[in-house]
Amino acid sequence: MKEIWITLATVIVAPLVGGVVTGIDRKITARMQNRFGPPILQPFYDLFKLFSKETIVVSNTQILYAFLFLVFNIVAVVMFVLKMDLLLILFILAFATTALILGAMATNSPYSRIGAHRELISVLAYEPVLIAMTVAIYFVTGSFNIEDILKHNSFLILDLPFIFIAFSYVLTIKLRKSPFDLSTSHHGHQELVKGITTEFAGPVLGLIELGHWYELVLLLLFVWLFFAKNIFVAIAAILICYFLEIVIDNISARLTWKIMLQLTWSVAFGFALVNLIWVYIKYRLL
Amino acid sequence: MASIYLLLIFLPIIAALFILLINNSSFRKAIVFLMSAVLIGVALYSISQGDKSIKLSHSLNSVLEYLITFADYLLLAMIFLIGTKLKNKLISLLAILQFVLMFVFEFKVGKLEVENVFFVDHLSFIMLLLINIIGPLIAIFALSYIDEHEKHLHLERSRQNIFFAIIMLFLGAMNGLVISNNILWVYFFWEITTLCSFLLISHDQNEESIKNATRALLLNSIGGLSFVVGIIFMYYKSGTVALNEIISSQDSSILMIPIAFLALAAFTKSAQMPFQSWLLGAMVAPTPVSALLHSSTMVKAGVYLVLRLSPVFIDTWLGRIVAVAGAYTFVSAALLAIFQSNAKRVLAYSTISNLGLIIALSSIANVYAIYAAALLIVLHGVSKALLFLCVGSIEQGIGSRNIEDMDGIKYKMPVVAFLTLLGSVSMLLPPFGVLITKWIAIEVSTQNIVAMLEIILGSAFTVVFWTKFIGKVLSDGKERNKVEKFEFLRHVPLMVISALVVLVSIFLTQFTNKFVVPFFKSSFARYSGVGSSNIKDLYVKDFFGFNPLVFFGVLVAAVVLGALVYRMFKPKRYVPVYMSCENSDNFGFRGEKDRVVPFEFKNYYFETLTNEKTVTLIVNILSIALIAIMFGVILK
Repeated sequence: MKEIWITLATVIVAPLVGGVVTGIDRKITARMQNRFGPPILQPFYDLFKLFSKETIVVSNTQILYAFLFLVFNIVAVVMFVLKMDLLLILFILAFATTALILGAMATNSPYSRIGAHRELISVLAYEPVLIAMTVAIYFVTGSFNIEDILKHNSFLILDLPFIFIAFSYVLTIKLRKSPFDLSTSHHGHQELVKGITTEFAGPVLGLIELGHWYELVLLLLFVWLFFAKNIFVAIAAILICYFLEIVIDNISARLTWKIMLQLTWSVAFGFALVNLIWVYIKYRLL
Repeated sequence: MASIYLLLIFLPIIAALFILLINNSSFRKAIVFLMSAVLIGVALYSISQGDKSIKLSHSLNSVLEYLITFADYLLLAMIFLIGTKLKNKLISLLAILQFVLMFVFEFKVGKLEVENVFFVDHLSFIMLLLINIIGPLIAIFALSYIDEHEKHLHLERSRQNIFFAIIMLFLGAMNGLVISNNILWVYFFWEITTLCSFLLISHDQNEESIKNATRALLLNSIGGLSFVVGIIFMYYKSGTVALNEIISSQDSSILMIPIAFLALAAFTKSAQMPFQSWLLGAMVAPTPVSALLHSSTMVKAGVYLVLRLSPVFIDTWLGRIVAVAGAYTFVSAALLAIFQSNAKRVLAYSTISNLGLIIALSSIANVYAIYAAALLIVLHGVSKALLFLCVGSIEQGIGSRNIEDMDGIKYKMPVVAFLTLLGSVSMLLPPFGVLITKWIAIEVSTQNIVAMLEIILGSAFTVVFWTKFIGKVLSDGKERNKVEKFEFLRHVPLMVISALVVLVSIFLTQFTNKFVVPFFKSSFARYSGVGSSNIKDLYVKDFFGFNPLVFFGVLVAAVVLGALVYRMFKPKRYVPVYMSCENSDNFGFRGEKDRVVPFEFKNYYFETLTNEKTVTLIVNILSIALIAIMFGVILK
């Protein structure tokens, strides 16, 4: 019974948080660019507007994929809040992305297909790092289960500093921020055509937008995991981390997918690997 | 009682003889249908009898013993002759070596009688289900496929009798392989499958098929030789050639050398790196052959052997290296699959990759790893049978097996496209079982960090190539005229296999408890006190909280919900794709002087980064190094 309430609360609260964070993001970004920026609640206005529009599509199946993207993201967040298996959550998150990619490939639009393939390359770049992060957490805490991970009696970041760096690195890709916003741009000045979401419009695009908010909350919850020992530290860490992402977003230009792949596989995965090996030795062999 | 096991082996072989001798289409169809019904009946009956060690009467045993020994030499002689006919000295040499080693060994130690001729446990049951359900379904599909195939070849005389005879022989040999207790018999059936695969791959008798069949025979002969060496070491180290005695052996350390050789043999049969090339070459054969080789026969023999021997080498250094080698194949085959635009090659690499995962799971010392290995054999078998048959149908339908030509396949061949989708989704996404085995693989491989890293990377690659494939199956195409006609012989087997794909995943826990747990309990008795623990303790309720029934329930609910959402957002208007308003339609844009310029978008195959050849070379070198390490470990 309790779980049902938690689930309901998560489903309602998560998009509110996600929307507000997105609003703050836009505000800060605007200030960094010497603009006044939209009100913080602007993302919600945008979303309501999207849902009030007429449904136009290129292909019927797009609706299904947009819906699946939203559902998988909700399921992932709910599973996290219910403290379930971290690895499974990652898989579910990957399927959300898969749904989006398939949705983009369902039409013959060159823009959305290029976006889809870039997204696929992003998966190739960040997925190993995310799984390595999970496994490193497992080595330290002895469990994949969030319930048990939270019982760990010190800050995870102390054992996993490099993993955290690697995670922050791929967070940029996951949030689709510069320099890794290859699959879709979120700044108007960068590109007119929106890559993976080009062919989505109206309420269908609204579903995807909503899905992004859930995704954002989940990613921030991952950051929280590293600092879960103390709630205030955790909130501070999340804020700092997200602020850094905004800064990076605003000071960097987009890289090509080749450079992204090379960078993530060498730098980010390298960092993760080093940390992984040392916790393996520390907690498994010694 | 013993007769049902003899039936499993000899009935298909006798049927093969009839098919070969009586070259009549309706007779052949009748026999294939009859054998399908009989095989599944006999297999189910034998399963209902439970675990058994079968003794034959003394005279029957001797007769069989002589028969198989004789047939074994005959078989090697045949391979030798094939080698000379193909002018491939290496094949002949390998056959001679096997012949001589076997002869000297049997001459020196005398009669190697094994008391329990057949040893059937729940692992054999799993294999029997796979062989005797999927195998005949593929054969029925082939009845329709091969007619059209021969039309394309413009043959003067149909060779269908040979084709179906070999398929039947193949099924009989596979049955023999999984129920025999005497490892010499296992070797005999092993060699039959090598010969059958050679004959099937070279079926079309053109230059390319003969070349690729030769490569398959050569690589599998290396495995055969390794198998013989393994048997001889096995006998001298443990004094027995009975599988059931070997796997319950108390001192596993003395068995490391024979196990390493047998593992090498399994690597060749299961097309592990660096032996993968024969399975890729095997694609030139008619598609039902690929389906058969990839799902219920041949490559499954290799992983079966590794899983069978697993109790002996699990939790040893040899086991750890085998796990690393298997996981290595998992990651490198998945990587190579990303570069492929040929659908059959994608499927082939995916098979190799999954077999690697099965081998890795078989050698990781964890209950769930063993469960996942056994489950993956079945899950992969059904899904891959479906996928190959679908791709075969697509190839005959649109005249190409290239993924890039599959634009709009959902309009042209709706049924097959949907089933292809089901098959590929079942290999990647929840709630299907393959995903669960991959998940288990990561969760349990944490004790073997190298294998784990390989599995992590492989898992990411897997997502990439399957998503590309699925995206293309679902994509829009310019041509939308339907080319598919419903054919009973073709579509019904496809639908039955699809139903199996879904059913196996829905009842994954039940299947595990019914078949996999008893196998684990009986075979791994020696291993960390499994023997003393209650079988109820070994049962699974779910997989780390993932209950397939619940998940399928959620899925059904989501579909209902999705239908409601769809009603709400039902599209009012369809629009062309966005082309900066310069579209002519969805497939071209207005260029200079309003001339229509068609465009097409191809999947990324990363040609600018590297190519298949370079990667294959690097991958092969590393895998040879791994095998060297595997043998280095066992030397004292």
